[in-house]
Amino acid sequence: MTKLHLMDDKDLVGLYQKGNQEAISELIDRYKQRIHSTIFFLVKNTELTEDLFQETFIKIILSLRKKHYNEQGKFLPWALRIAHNLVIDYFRKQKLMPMQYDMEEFSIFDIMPSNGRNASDQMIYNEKIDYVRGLLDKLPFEQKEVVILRHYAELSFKEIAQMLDININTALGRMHYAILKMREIVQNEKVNLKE
Amino acid sequence: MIKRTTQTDLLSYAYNDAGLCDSDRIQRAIDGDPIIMEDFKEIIKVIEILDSAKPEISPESMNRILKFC
Repeated sequence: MTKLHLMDDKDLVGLYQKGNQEAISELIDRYKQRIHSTIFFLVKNTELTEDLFQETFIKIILSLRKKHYNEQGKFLPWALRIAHNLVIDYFRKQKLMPMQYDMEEFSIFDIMPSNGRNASDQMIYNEKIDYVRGLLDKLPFEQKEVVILRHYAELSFKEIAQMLDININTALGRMHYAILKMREIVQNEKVNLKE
Repeated sequence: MIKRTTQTDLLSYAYNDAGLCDSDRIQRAIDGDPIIMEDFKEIIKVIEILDSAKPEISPESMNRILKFC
């Protein structure tokens, strides 16, 4: 039996293109959280997050079927570029067309309850998500984008620089200013989520 | 020449993004300078806050994607 979880991305792509369905499931499983979190913190609406998340994977699957994936590239940065472009496209369209989603204010009630979590745990979970989302929303978009790609998508600063077509020092600088700003906010609010 | 440890060095190090040689230099700087140590702790504090929020994927989204495969 092939141990799919031990295989690298390139081999999984190859297997899927030869008709192995489990290979794509493994790839999805490997990267779903990072891609979902990236979209989640870039947009302000849970319903929109889920739509863009599904659309991202549908595009990924279609591209793999059509063999449009470049084996020399890395799978995650490529997949994140698809997600990122969908988010940017959405914001562009939003300027031209009436809003399809309520983007006014993020509500903790947007967060779907999780199976197996009691009401108290759910409330703590919602508050943490809400707090971090609020923290990120206080940053200029360019800084927020770098924080999300480094922290939640787990791209290296070099990969972020390539993806956003910026210098690596610019990526590091944006992250640095973002950390300073968040640190200042946290200190001012005297919030300690770990307590 | 001794290379100074900058805030972006600390950031790279916190995210395991500094090379092996730089990591060693940065760790020594952290250990040897209480101000740098304090700066590093502040970075880690923010990282821990970001870590505390892990959004969940809706099962419906996953079902739709897996059906599409």
